[in-house]
Amino acid sequence: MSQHSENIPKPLPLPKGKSVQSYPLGPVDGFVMSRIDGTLSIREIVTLTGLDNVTVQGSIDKLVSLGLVSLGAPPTAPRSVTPPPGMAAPRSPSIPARPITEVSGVLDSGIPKPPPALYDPAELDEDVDLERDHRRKILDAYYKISEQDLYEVLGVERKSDKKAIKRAYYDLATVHHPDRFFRKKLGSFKQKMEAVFTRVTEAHDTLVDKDKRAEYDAYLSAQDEARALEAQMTRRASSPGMDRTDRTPPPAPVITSPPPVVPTTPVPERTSGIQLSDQARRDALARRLLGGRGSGMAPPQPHSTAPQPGSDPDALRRHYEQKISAVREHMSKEHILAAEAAVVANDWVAASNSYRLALQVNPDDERLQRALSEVQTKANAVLAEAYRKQASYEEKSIKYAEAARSWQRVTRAMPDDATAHYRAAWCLFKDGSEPEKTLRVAATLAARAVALEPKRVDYRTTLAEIYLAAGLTLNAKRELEAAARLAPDDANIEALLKRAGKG
Amino acid sequence: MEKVIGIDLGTTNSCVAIVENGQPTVIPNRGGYKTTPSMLAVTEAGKRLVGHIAKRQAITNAENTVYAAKRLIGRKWSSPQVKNAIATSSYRIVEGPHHDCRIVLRDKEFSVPEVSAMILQEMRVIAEDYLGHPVAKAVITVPAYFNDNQRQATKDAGEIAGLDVIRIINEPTAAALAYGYGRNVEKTVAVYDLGGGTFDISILEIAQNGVFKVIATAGDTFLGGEDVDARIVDWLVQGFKDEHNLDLRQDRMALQRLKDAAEKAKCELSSVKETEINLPFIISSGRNEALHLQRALSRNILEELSSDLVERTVDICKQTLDDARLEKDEIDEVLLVGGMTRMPKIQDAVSKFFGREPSKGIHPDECVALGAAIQGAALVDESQEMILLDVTPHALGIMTFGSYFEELIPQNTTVPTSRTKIFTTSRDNQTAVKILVMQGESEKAEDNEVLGEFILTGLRRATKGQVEIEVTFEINADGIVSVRAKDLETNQEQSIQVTATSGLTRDEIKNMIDNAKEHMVERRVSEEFEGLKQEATRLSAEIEKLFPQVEQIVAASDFGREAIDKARGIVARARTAIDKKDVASLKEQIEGLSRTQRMFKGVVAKGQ
Repeated sequence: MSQHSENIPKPLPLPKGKSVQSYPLGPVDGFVMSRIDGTLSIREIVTLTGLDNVTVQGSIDKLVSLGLVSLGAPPTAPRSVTPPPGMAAPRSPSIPARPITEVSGVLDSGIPKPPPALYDPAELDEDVDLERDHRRKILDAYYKISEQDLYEVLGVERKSDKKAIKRAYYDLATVHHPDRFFRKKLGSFKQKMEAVFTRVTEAHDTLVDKDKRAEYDAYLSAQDEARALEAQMTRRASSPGMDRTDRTPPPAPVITSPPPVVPTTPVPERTSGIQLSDQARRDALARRLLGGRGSGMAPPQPHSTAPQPGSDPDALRRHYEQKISAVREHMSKEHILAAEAAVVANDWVAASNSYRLALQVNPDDERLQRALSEVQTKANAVLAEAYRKQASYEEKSIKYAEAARSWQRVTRAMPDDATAHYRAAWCLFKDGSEPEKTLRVAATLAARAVALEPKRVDYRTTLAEIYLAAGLTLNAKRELEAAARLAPDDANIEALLKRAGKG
Repeated sequence: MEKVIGIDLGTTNSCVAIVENGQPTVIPNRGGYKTTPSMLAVTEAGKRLVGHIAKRQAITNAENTVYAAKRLIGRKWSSPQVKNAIATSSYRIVEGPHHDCRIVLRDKEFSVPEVSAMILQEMRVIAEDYLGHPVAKAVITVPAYFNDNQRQATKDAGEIAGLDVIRIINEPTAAALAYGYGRNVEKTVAVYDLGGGTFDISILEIAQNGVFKVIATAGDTFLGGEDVDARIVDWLVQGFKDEHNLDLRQDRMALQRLKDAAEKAKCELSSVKETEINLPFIISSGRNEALHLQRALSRNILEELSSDLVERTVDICKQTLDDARLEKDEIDEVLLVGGMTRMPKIQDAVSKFFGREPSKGIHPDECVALGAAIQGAALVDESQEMILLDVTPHALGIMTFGSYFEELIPQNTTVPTSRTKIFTTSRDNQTAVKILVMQGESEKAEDNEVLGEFILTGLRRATKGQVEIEVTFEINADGIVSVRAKDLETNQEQSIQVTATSGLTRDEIKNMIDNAKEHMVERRVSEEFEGLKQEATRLSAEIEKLFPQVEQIVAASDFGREAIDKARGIVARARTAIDKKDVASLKEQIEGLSRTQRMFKGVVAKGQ
């Protein structure tokens, strides 16, 4: 788990009876923990402790996973920076003086901004015998149900027991059952109510049955797992924690820019977290104690150990480049260590992530390239398996659009898996909604399946059917003829050929 | 707010109830009885009799008295249950024009919904008499296991009786409503409903916020008290045959007496261990002497005779518990409904199976009508928070190739609901498919019930299995089934609302409604006439009695003599009006009679 360096870790109260000594922490963790007071950001803690970014992030990860520390969401608006001396901070009247830390946009008066509309509010105006509030309830439910999972549909936690699920169902039944408005004028709301009720009942029936619920929960966790893995693999910045054994899904992938390696001109106190060699840090501390430039916090600047500004620019540059490569090496080493640790733990996704980051630093390192590709294959397999489980459940539940999406994700992880390509194509074709968009994709997928396994007759015939549906009869014919050569007496192929012949 | 009555249209007895000031109440008939026999008779004079009065003359008019019409309603002429009824009924059953049954009374044919309509009409009159104003809306109950055809036939019967049947609900569910109403309980209950002709077992959940949810239901629509009666009759007939070598079944009157006696004995044996069946002069021996039937029936023998029926109900309970995926100990309460549950053997069997004593919280004969009234009130009154979530008792599906039944909506699915499935053609170059909508549990289409059919045309010619047809089944909150079929390639759609067939066409129903209305009017008029006649006769009699005294007192004066003449005239005119059945004139005369009577009394009083 990595955090935006602007995040502010907050200490959490210990559970009753537990002492902090009972936790598996090391001296570095203890030190970092002593700096966590709920007001300093990670970046500031890095600066304060003089430790490098990787170490601090790793410690904080550990503390978070042990439940000792919590992380606030990164603020969307930059925290109000005390203006550097001599500059008046332009205060626009609409921004309140205190720092904005809410995630959802807070307007001037503090009223939370409403979420984006699900439907055209004009639908509320239909002439029916329903209270406006109730209409809203029905429309809100109706437009959300296809996206929500069954727990969300009922508005319960995933851990809820049977009783809670039943309670939720009964409460919803009184809202959405059409009998409450027997023979009243309901217009289009009647069909919507019945649709919501059917889905709510489906949720109840699945979650209240032990076996069905177990199956569904497995499906959901496969979904979560896949999402988490995907997020991990696409994240660019920061490094994985040192000992990451938990698999809790991370918050929405935070993509930060790569840590700036090159500082620009001398900047005021606050800098981006930059790893330093021990020497540089010691020098910075020494300078501070001896009263060097800068005030307040020690600004660990790479070039502060350099000759004072004004001296030889070449020497400056050389020194500076040296520092950079030292930093680079250090980073790369850290990533490789992390990757190796992950490999030992069979965490292929984490390992592939770390190797990738190491390669960013040293793109020409062949050893790293080999390591990455090895590990990458394994990681992809893990991801593919998670998506495969999801896709099977969705196909079984006759949710072809979702299944197609999941199969496509499998193909992304396993570009040479013919079955996945074929099933994705088949599901897209079966779903049949928005054929203008999906047929093309389906054709591409099916074609790939055929290319991977040219002897499979069914792959070719499905591809042919897709082509026919798209009006590409020549292509269809071609596939069918190839299929016919493979299976000369197949009546199905003959029938399809006849169809193609007509086109 | 309009009142809604709840009617329990039972095989043997019917009951009507209403919610008054928040209190569900059973409405007694004019005789003070809370239930009315579901019987209809036509006298030699062509008069229709319903209820108690029909039952009383059943023995002497056996051929023209109908009972247990519920066993025939909505069934096809060819069904085994109808065959069984024909063999055992005292009235004649013939085939109707739509493969349905008709009942023959005094050489006139009546459809089964028509017969039931007359009973419903009687219940309606009972309610209107009690309330003092007309009633139009009703909720009628049916056995949970009734299929759609049987339900539609019952609805038709309600319509013929001039009622707006706002909902048909299941009997066990109604019983649970009566149990849970106003009680603020949260329980899982099993309702064991064994009535005159049908058996149902339903498992429901009652939630605290007024939601009643049926989890599973099953039953047998041809298993009830009448079958136990039949067993007793068999036993009596056999015994008599052994002794006298005569078959009592050949004599309709004997058969009717046997049935009556059997029912009576059965009921008695719920409280005593042995009873005597005494039928003197049951049949003539052919040698100009009459034979008698006298035999003792013990509870033990009765239990032996009916043990397999009891076992069958327990088997169905077991199956339903499985369908509900519940264990016996998860049932909080067992409710007994229906007269048959008074039998000790039944109570024993139920207690043993569920592992608990059944609840005494409801009245086995009245709770169904009360529940129906409660549901009626809840539907028309928006402030009522009660919601009933019932299920389809039978799977719904279509017939597929090879005469197989493909299920779309499984048994015990909560309604409203909708399901979709994709089907394909079964023959090469098939351009149209006939969608046969069916209901039932069998894998073979022929064992299931057909609800309706429609045809989807315009399919492209292809090898069998290539064309894809999407079929969507929907059951809405009123229990109405609609089916849509779409050709996935052409997007051509066709849909129908499947109205199950009761065996009657719309025109026939309309005719019957008109007839029934006419009959209702006639009846009201005749009732009024009776009332007036009574009044007039009473007044006339009083006046006649006073004539001698009055004459004595006023004969002397002219005025007196005129008055007496006038009085005689009024009495004579009243009598004419009675003879002519002239209601309007009679009303007038009654006014006159009243005045005369008062005047006479006054004269006599003064003269004393």
